[in-house]
Amino acid sequence: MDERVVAREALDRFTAAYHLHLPPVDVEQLCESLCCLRIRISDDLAAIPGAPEGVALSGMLLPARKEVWVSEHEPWERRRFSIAHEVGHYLLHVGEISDGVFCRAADLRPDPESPERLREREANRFAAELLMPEQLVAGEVDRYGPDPVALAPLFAVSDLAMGFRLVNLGHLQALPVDLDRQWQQWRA
Amino acid sequence: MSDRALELFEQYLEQRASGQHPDAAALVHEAGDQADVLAGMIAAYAATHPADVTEDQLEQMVARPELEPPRPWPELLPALRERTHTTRATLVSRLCEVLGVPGSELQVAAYVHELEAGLISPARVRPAVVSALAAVLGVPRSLLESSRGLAAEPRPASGLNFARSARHSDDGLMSLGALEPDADPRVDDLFTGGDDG
Repeated sequence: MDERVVAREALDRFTAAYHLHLPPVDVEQLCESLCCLRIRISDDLAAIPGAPEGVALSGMLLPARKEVWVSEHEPWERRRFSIAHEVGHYLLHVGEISDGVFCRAADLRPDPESPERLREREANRFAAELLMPEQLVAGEVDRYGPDPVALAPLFAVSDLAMGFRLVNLGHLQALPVDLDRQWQQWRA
Repeated sequence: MSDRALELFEQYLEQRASGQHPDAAALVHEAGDQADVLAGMIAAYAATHPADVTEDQLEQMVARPELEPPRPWPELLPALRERTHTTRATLVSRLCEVLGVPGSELQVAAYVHELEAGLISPARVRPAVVSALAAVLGVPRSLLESSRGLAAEPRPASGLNFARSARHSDDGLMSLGALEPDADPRVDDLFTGGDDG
C-alpha cells in the first residue's frame, strides 16, 4: 500500500482513538500508544546493540524489542522526524524483509533504485505525510500563505522540512533562498 | 431480578430523565457480577429508546471486553487502552497513582512497554498490578486474570534493525536527554515479584 495512505490511516486511527487534535501531531504519543513502540533517547546510538559501526545515526528501530532510539544531540524537530521515519519502517517494512537494513549503508549505495534506498524514501514520505498531512498543510497555506518559516512551528517541524514539503506539494516552486542555503550547507 | 442491577438501571433512567448523559459502561462495570444483567437491561432499553442512547455508549456496550474470549496481554492491553481512549502515558501516570509509586513513571513505563510488547510474562506481576490495571482500564479484574497465562503471538524477526543516518549535527541547539532517577525496588517487585495470592 502507498506509504502516504498508511500514514493517513495511522493518523486517523490515532486521532479517533485518543481524541487528539492536529496540528501538530503528537508523534511520540502515536509511536507509543498506537504502535506500542517505546521511545528511548541516547547520547550514543552507535553503542546500542545492533547499531551499524562507525556511522553517525539519527534514529534506529529495533523491532524485536519494539524500541525506537533517537539521538539526544539532535534538535527536537529533527528527533520528531526520526521517530516518524522509524514508525514508517515499523508499519511499512517490518515483516517484509528478513535481513538487517541500515540507512547509512543505503545512502552510500550508487544505485538509487536499490531496495534499501527505496525503503528509506518510503519511510521519509511516510514521515512527511504523518507530520505534515497534505490536507492540513493546504488549510494552513490558505490562512498564512506558503511561508515555511511561519508554518514550521504549527507542525513542529524544521523550516527546511516544511520548505521541502511545500515544494513537494506544489505550494512553492522552489526553496526560498535562505533555506536553499541551509540545504546546500547540509549537503556539504 | 438482581437488586443491584435494578438499582443501577433506575439510576441510569433517572439520569436520562434529568437530561444527563449517564456513562453506561461505567454503570455496567459498577454492577460487578450483575454486569451481564444490567447490560441486557440497558441494551433492551436502547432498542426501544434509540434516541436516548448515544452511538458511543452503544459501541462501548457492544464491545464489552469481559464478554470476549480471553486474549494475551500484548493484544488485550493496547485494545483496552484504545477502547477507553487512554494513551500509554496516561495509563502509566494513573498506574503510578494507584500503586502509590509517584515519580516512578519512567520505570513503570518500561514495565508497561514490556508487558504490551510481550517481553515480560504477565504471570510475573503482583496481584496489585492486575487490580490497578483493571481499575484504570475499567474492566473486571477477572478479565485480566483469565488471560494472564496466555502466550502472545511470536514477535517479528529479531535480526532486523532499521537505522536513520545523521547527515548533520546541531550540537548545542537542544538536548532533552533527561537523567533517569534511580530505580525504585518497590516497582521492580510489583512487576516481577509474581503472584503472591
